[in-house]
Amino acid sequence: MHTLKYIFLFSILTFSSLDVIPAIQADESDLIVGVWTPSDGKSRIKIEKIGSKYYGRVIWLMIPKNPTTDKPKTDQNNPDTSMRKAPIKGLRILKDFTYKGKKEWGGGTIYDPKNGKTYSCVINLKDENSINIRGYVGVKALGRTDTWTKYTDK
Amino acid sequence: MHQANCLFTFITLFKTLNLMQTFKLTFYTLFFASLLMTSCKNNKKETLSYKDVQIMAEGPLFEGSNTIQGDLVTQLPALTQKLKIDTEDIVSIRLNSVNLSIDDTSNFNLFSSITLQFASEKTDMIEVALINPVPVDKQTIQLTVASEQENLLDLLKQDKFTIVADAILKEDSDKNINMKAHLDFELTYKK
Repeated sequence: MHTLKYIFLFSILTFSSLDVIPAIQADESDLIVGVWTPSDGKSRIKIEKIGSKYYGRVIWLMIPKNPTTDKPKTDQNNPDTSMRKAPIKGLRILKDFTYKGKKEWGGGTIYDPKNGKTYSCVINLKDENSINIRGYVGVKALGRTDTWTKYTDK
Repeated sequence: MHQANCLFTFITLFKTLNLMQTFKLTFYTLFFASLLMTSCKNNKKETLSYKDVQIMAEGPLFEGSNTIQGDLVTQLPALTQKLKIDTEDIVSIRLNSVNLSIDDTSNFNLFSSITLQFASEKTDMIEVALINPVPVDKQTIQLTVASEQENLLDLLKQDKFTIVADAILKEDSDKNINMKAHLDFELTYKK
């Protein structure tokens, strides 16, 4: 009877270490996948997974058109002049994030279409409905954090 | 005696200086010869084409921003083998042209713009081409290639990479979108 008990316990421990834990980790790494609204509420960003990395693109703009031209806003500040006709709606502003553990995604960049600059960036999951996005130059201390909230279609 | 000593010292010094000059001359001759030989390795160009690369998005798709993507297996090792060069001999790689053709519908009228990017596990995503607006009633479209193309060589050194086309749709579509991409890269190498 004792032997059976040990076999049962051993199999539980083995299976949990092989299957369940990686599954939990996989779920955790995908927690940023979804649609998020920056603190100013003027846009929505969809974060998705391509391969093993995470990317975010603009899917909605409060003011989609340029007021002076009445045409859809384009990436006018892109340092590569040949890409300035790219529409802001659809633009990938978050690139190449990997899950670092402890609800942090790093190694990526954030692009600011307002000035055409790209910054190093780290994303932290605050809770299931909000993330902290920190853009920085060089060291994390020299940067700015914005809190994005999860968008739900009500 | 003193005069003889002085003369001997002078001759020794002269010989040493002369020897040094000979060494210097030999060194410089060899240096410039090797430089000349290296510069004789001319830069050559070769086109690397990928035809009919399938990219797709599963429907239903909604008006606005959508992603169409597909993987491309790189053929760089086969090309370097054919050219009898090492990957270290490749100076640069540039995307010269991108054409997209659509399978299921008759034209690109559903699209208002398409931005093309390349991404891989080990390299950063790069924007490589764009079309905005998409011309009407066309079955094949040619995208404008980005002027700045960084790290394409590193990307093509990977076994495969992903083509990511971000398209703005004018209206909803129930169907899948299937496209074929034709990419021409220009490879500059030393031989």
